[in-house]
Amino acid sequence: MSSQTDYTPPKVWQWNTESGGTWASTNRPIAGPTHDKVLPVGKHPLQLYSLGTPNGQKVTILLEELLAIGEAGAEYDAHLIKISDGDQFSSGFVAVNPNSKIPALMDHSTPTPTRVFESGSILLYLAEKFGHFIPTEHSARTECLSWLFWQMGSAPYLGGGFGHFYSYAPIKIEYCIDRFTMEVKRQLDVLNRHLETHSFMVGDQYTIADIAIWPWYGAVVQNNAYNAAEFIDAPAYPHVIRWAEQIAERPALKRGRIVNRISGDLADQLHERHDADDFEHRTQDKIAAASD
Amino acid sequence: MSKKVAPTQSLGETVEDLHIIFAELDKSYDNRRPIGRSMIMAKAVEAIKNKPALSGGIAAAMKNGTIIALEAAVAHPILKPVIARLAKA
Ligand SMILES: N[C@@H](CCC(=O)N[C@@H](CS)C(=O)NCC(=O)O)C(=O)O
Repeated sequence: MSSQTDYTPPKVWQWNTESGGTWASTNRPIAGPTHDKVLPVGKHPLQLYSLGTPNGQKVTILLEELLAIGEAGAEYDAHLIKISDGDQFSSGFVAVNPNSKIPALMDHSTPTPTRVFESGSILLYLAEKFGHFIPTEHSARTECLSWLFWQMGSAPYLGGGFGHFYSYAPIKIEYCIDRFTMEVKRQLDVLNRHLETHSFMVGDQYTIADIAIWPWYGAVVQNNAYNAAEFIDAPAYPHVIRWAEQIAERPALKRGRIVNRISGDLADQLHERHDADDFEHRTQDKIAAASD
Repeated sequence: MSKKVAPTQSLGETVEDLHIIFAELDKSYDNRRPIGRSMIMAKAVEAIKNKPALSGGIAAAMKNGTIIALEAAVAHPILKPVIARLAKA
């Protein structure tokens, strides 16, 4: 294993703004707003401030699933928060999420508007508000929440650990890549063993547990994240692949996963969503064609 | 599988139940493809667990040595892995 021995941590860590890497310009060691800006508010009860990353996709997938089964109260405006431009540090965003991370939701249908942050909390809030995609029977509901919390605790190893060091870090450090690859493969094996005998995370019910896990672990095995399917030997997890493919066919998921997306195929990017028919007319391929 | 011993059914009834389950699943999924096999496996385990009498029938066959006969009578490629998985549970 190659080693990096020329670094000795100082007594007190100093913020080195030149540290490099894809996210160097947005990462900072302090919280709070950097600038004043009021967030836009659209016409629907639910106002989502987000970006089409896996954490953002969770929420838009659930909202589209709720709308697909006729929950009109789940109509939403999805406003784009460009985290690479620092939009998450505006005063308006920080008021909705003091943690300055997408996704963040304001529910204007409550007597006073309710703020909800953390993707897992948003999924639970919406599932409970509308009474769908979360089992009512106590033990199934508990299983659902266990997997939801599993995802919230596990994905940072996948995104912040593995994805960061394998894909974004300015230098490839074998020690870090090994450590997080080991953990991510263990997590995939957890899923694979479970899905061998369960069609969805909670038996035969599609729930917020699937909606939380799919954008991260489904993306990795389907080679939609970090270009790492070969590296992590995705075929070793056939039940995860089956589950991911089966879920990927859901029309609501196909809509939800492209909301607030600003990368990938133009047809798979709907920068903002304010109406159901934006999927027909406002994806980036349609916008580009109209401006030609 | 649940450790509680469910009201057990006969070997014939167990075979028949499994025939019905696999016939249904074969209509929806392609057991020649890995994706189809994975789906049939998961759905079959769920269906068996949801039917205590059937779970009991399989558990009894595992105990009294008629499991080979049961596998031969059902003759479905996914039954063996399903039984193996249930035996582990
Ligand atoms: N635990 C949070 C994590 C959210 C998160 O990490 N969001 C990222 C994008 S996926 C973000 O907003 N990063 C901006 C930043 O770190 O400044 C959740 O699940 O909501």
